[in-house]
Amino acid sequence: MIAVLFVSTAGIGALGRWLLAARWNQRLPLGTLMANTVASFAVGVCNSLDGDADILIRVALFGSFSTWSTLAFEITRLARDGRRPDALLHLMSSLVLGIGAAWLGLRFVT
Amino acid sequence: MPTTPGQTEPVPPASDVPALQQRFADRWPPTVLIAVGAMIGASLRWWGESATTGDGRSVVLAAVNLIGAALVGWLAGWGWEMSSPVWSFLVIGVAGGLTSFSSFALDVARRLDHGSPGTALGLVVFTVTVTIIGSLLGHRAAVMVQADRTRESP
Repeated sequence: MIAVLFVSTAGIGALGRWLLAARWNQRLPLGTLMANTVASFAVGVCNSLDGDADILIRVALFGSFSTWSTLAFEITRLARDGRRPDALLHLMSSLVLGIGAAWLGLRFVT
Repeated sequence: MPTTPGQTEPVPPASDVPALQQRFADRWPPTVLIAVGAMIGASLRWWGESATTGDGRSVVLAAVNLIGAALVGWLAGWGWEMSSPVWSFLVIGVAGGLTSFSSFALDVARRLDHGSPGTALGLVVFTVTVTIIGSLLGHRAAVMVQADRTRESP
């Protein structure tokens, strides 16, 4: 049962990320930034979960909602296109907002 | 070409890649490809995470993030279009499900919260470095393979 729920929530997370990217990835990939920031805050809030709930929410749902591979691709593509300031901005904003959001999520529940 | 029940569609020759892609895309919409790909990717990440504990999980997470970044770099180097079914399945689905920014961010935030800013900073620098280099190397490798094939073809 947990396996069925796991693959279902992973699929939902990835589709949510795809929809955000389709709507907001314009000159800068804001959709990816939003997905990573929201997912980071959510896993921070859900930090105290364990067992099946942790697997379903942190690993499957928000793990698939966020992405490192696309972020790395977007940064290297911006740099290859001669937009190094934008690449650096995308990297730094992703790190600051994502880690900050996860930290706030941790604090939010304590 | 319309088909009647019981009649199979004509199969395009293997060399006709755009027609094969179109045929694939007609049968498998992006939503299905992305969802199935993410199921596979996230399952692999879960399998890796569950096989380790403590700091080992951070290493596994960095490794899967590196593999996913290299895979996407490789596919981009081959020139796959972002609207193609292959991109939907392998990049948005499999690699997106395999890699996880939120787990990385939580890992770093926990270390900051536990008073280990040095370890947190090290994890950030290590993960950023390996994923960016992985993406660049994947892209470079695909471009080099393509150039070799072009040179070898008559």
